[in-house]
Amino acid sequence: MFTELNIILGFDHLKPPKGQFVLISDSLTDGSFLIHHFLSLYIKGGWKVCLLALAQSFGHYNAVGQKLGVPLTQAREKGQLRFIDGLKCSLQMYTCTPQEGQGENPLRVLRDKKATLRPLYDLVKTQVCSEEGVLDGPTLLLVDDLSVLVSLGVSAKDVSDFMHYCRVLMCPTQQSQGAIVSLVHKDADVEDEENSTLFRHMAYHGTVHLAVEGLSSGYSRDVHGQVTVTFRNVQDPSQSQTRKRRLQYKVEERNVSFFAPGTSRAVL
Amino acid sequence: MAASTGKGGVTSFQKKSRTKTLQIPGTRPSSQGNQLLVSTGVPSLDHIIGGGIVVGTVLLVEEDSFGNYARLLMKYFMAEGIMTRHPLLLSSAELHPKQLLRDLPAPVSDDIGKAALHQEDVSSEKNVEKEATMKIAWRYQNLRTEQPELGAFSKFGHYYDLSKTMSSEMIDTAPSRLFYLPDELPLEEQGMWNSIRNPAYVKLLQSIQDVVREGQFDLTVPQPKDVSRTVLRIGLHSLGSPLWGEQDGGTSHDTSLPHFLHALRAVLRTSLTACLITIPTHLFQDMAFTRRLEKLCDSVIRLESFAGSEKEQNPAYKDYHGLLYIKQLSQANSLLSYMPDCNDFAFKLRRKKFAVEKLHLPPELQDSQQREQDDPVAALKTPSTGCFSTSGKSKLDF
Repeated sequence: MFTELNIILGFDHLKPPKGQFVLISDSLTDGSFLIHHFLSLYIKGGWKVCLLALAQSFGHYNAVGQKLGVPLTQAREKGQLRFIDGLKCSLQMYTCTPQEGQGENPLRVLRDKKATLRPLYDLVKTQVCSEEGVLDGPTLLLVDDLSVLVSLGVSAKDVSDFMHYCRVLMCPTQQSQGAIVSLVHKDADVEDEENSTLFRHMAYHGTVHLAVEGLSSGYSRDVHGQVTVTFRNVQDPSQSQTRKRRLQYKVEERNVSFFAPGTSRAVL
Repeated sequence: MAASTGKGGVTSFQKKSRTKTLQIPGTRPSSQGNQLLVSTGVPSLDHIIGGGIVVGTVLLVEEDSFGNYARLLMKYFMAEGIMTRHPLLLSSAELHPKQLLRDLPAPVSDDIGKAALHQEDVSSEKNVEKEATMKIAWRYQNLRTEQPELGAFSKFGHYYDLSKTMSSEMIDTAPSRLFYLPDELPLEEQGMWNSIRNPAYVKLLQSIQDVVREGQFDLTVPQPKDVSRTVLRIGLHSLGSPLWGEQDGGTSHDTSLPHFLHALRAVLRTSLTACLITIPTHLFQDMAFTRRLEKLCDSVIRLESFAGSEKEQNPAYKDYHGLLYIKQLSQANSLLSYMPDCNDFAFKLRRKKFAVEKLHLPPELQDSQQREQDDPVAALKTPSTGCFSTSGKSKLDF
């Protein structure tokens, strides 16, 4: 959990905010350190977290979590963390023969062109809701990441439908109990139509958008990139629609330090 | 001073290690201490990618136009596996893996010499030491001489001589599993894409899974303590070439290879394996497809050889045979990846050695041009480093 980022975002680390849809997008660099930030923030805040991990294995999140002071194996045993292993489901889908059938695999859409991500949504719903079908206390859905689904062949429309359903389940208004954090790749130098369509759909859902990119002046060892935070103001039309803040960051072994542009310790 | 002829160290100071890391010959822990690395076989390449290939990840090499240097890197990777006694799995569609294995570079002779003559050396050294008594540093008299190396196979990173080939007994005794596509999948089945998946990739993944299971590389299956573990080296040569069935130059709608890489990641993360894949990405028309493949691999480097391009004549590049770009470095199990100092590397292939170095321009070329427009050195000095290449320089031609 990176305290400087919390201050900029206005998130209280003792009481993480409800009803937020945080969209992380990265361009030509890796924004997954922000996923670890939100994961540790919400677990330390005592929320229930459902991690839909499509890009990395549980060992990865656990290893980083230990460095950030969040023991994920214990959280998983206690039930605070629900982990959906996307890698394992994808491997099963890839190697199973048509005779065995896909059974209960939530990523059936990877083999069956006519299917959608509905089974995945049902799985998320069972993990997140109680028996009545409503949210069981403050819950966070963390999706890492959506571009993997696009690379595996799911159409942008199916993915945005899935996220729409998740949003209605978790955080339809700013006062609801849940929150969503998701990551989309949006590389500026290649024309990836599906990914850009997906990003545009997600941008309309998001209440906070964090855009991670490299420095425009090139590679630097001391400043790894910059994050532009955009707050979408959907509640109050009288105020200006969006508010932007720009920060530069440097990733270290146990922490990421954020600072105003030009104030890196290497420069000052 | 407490001198002790203890378990083989010069002092009795034992570093207390909190975590129990696996001791596997031929590997070493990363600088952060929590990951195992294996060598690629080229020590200069190991240095720039952060020490080596992280066990459990994939190093993707984007091939140069003729594929020569990528094939050479694959040979180094396999040769290193034989030297460190890591089992190999090699797959290829174009030339038979046996041919690739037959032509591996031979290790530089003192490495094998040490392993063979280890026993005789130790005894002869002991005799010599007894005779020479120390006059000044007499406290050290009773200490043993420096522990000789355990053997070539536990060292990390060997040096090879390209002008000689590795002896065939060494290659034949090494445990290896070969996957030659025309043998594994008959030609009739290769073209048939009745499902979304390419049957060639499926067959390859199934054989990888079989080897991981049989060779006990799987980390989720608990092993008895006395079984010595080792790392499996997987080399997938020229994946994604037209021989594998890649149709219409890899457009974005083709999901067979990305799905293969995703499923491969699932297999590798829970087993003791290190994988080197070479893909001829210069054949793909769609950059977005290449980018998706890169995101699904952990470390990515791209080779660009000067053969046949106009850069071959450029006097600034005359010492080198090609450029090497680091596009991505592994971030598995850690918050940050290894950050190199710079991103300008070039490689050269000498008669005996392949080496990667930082690209530096010669201080002055022999005949400097009259006009600045013709000067190739000045042209190269425009900033083209880093993630972005912002060349906003406009030349006015008269």
